[in-house]
Amino acid sequence: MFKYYISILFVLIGYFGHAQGKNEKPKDSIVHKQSYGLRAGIDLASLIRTGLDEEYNGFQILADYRLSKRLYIAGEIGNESLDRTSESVDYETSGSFLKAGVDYNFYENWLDMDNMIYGGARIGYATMTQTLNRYDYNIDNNYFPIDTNIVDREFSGLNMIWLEIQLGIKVEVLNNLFLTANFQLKRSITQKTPDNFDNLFVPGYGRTFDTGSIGVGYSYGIMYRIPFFKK
Amino acid sequence: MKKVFNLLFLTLLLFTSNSCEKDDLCTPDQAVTPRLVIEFKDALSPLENKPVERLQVQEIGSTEFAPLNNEGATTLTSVENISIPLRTDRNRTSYNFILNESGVLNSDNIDFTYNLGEEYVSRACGFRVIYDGLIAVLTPESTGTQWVQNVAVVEQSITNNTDIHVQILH
Repeated sequence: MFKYYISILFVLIGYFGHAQGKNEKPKDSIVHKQSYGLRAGIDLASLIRTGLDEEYNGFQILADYRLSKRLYIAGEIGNESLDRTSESVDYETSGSFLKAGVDYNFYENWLDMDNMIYGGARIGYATMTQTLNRYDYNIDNNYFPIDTNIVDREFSGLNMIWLEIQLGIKVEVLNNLFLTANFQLKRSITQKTPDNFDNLFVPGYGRTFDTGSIGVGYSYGIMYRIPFFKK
Repeated sequence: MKKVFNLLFLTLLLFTSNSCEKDDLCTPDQAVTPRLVIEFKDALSPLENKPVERLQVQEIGSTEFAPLNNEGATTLTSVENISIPLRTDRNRTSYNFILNESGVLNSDNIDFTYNLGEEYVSRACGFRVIYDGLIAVLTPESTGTQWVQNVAVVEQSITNNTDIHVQILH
């Protein structure tokens, strides 16, 4: 799935570059120049969740840099922690993550508009520590009193590498100020799990699922572009 | 464009509230702490199964009878095998096996000792206990008759409910 996506992306990029070279005709005298520069911002989703969800703490910086009319280098960096109390297992995970990749703008802007409806591809890496605080045994009867185990078992040096695709928008609401939102679909490639336990939450990736290696996420935030030049 | 953005923003806000997923439920098909599976054999010809007329099992010191099968039955008649829980908080469980032969009760005690181990199952089910190095000792009685002749451990590690771990010859 991801392989195809990336292949298609490269084919598109190739096609686009090719097409540009051939269309060197004399242009209209009015040219709407596009801004190029570094765009950086913060993820409001993790800030809002930090406020609403007592178990969660997170902060994330978003950035992209424009390479061509449609292609951007993009990435996110941040840290997240989750202190989760659930029926059978209480655990705490905290760590940092880095995502790097590209965004490709599918949106045809009018005049000097500078909005994006984009598809993004990322490779993500997270490193974290997970602490098991409490757990129960899965027992099919209640003949003996069910005892819960309060422990403080820390597993450090855990990590995960995943591939991610994003579908989102970036809209210029004021000059150089953008609102952004996206959906993320992720697939874990490799991970270091604790001995006789599992990575239940991974910073930047979100919660894991016992039944597979697919993860989902979202982000919305505000970004500011530092314009370097126009062309 | 702005309308699209607002719509997307609202959708994302809705997703903020975490919902309960199938993955969060501990279903019966997931690994569970195994029980001790006991088979009743004939003391005179140990290869032959010999059903027990009417049986109840009780931990020493307990007032309740232990479940003998998955349905939780505590009394079984003409039973050839049972599966009973073992304690997960200590490495010893002492059971009285109470035979009811036409109304006459005969209780024999067997001590099970083992090593405790634990295994991660899933976020919904937590962990499970597995047992190792099982030893079963029949407590001798100075008076009266014992209906249990001998106890033999056939599988020292208890990791599932399909193996037979102990044979009781009577």
